[in-house]
Amino acid sequence: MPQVVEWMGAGPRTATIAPADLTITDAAVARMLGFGARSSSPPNHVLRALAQLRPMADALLEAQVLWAPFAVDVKADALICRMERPARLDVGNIVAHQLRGSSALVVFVATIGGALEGEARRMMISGAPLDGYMLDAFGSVAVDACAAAMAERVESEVSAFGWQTTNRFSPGYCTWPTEDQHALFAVLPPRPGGVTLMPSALMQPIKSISGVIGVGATAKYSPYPCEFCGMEDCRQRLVEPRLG
Amino acid sequence: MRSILERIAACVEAGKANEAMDIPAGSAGQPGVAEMCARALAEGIGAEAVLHDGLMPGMGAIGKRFAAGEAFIPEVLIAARAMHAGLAVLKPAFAEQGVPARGTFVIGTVRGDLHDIGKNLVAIILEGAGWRVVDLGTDCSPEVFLEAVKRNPGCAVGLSALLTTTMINMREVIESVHAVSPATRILVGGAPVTAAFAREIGADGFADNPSQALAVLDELMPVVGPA
Repeated sequence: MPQVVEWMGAGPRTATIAPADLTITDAAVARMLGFGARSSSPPNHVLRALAQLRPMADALLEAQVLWAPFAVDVKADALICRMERPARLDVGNIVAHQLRGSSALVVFVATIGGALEGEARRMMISGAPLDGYMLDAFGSVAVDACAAAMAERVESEVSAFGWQTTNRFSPGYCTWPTEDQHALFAVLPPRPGGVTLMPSALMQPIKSISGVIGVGATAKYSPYPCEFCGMEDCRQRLVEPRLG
Repeated sequence: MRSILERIAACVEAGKANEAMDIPAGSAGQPGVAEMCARALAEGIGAEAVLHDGLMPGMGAIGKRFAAGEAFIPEVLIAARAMHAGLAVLKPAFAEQGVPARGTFVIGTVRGDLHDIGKNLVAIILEGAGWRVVDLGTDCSPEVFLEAVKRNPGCAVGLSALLTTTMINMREVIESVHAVSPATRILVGGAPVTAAFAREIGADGFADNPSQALAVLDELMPVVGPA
């Protein structure tokens, strides 16, 4: 399929995503603040404060993504990116199982930049901790929305040749060790999307997500990936109730 | 009829810092923590009594609701803001010695980690409960913690980390501090940290949220009453 060859051969892509193209709902921010764990919605004054913060929060977003496709061999507990020197991602058996049926792997980094986290930090330590905390929660939802926007683009591109996509998976989730962040970054260009990786595997800016998406004619999206994972305290499980 | 101290506690719990504040909705124009603390002092109630029997029970109540899953961090922060409004009124009454501190708590995020939201929340809640907090910031080496312990005799220490790759650095801090100051109580917390991990690395306590940090500290360092 010439389309596939062309798509695979195009190398890493970068994109800037406008705030208007990020799906950030008050409900998602409220869940990030903890309110998802009970049936009632947040108090009105919290919702009011969120609404007041929103224009400033949007203005602080510097959303960028970088993603690159690789041909992949899915092993029992690892993914092998077929490159000149094959690169191994030790994702563990849960992620590997979810990616079976993938012909290629999209490796990505998404970030909202450092401006929002800097302002949230400033607020936290300068007498406005509630605003700082809410802004930080907004940033967490925003970076997830940024990765989701990138995944939608990938889905749209590969659907042109009849391929499908799996869920997004990141180091630290589904028992994929956080340390493997180094192996993931090693297959991407230096400072992908402006994100740097510390020796501790912490990304800077902090509001960044890295990960993989499987793509292929028989790749499958699972609406309930948490069913396969025993990490009860996982943030994803707590924040996204439909996954639990 | 509730006493003024009970009303102060209720206002702290609700986050009603002052008269102008419309929290809870519809309460604008009614006295809040600041006005009621001033009234309590004017009525001859001592500042210590206002602090211990008014403000602190209010923070204790929101902490219990948080622990029970009936309140969330934003509500705890709103209560802490109300508590601070009360402390500002009491400050002159405590004159030169300042508001008496419950103790000193040194807190920082361990080496390799730049996350600070959780650490800051713990600092805010503890300050609200009367602790003097020494915030060392993020990416702190064991030497930084050790120096702070030497500068603050009798303090407790809190270590924060948000990654599995950085929480392992807590052990070195604990070993360094306990080597020179075995009696120093060290509390650990952060998303990947568990009670079992805390025990394994020799921490004295574990907390997975700011209110629990306060409760664990109270257990580790109980208030010593007059002889």
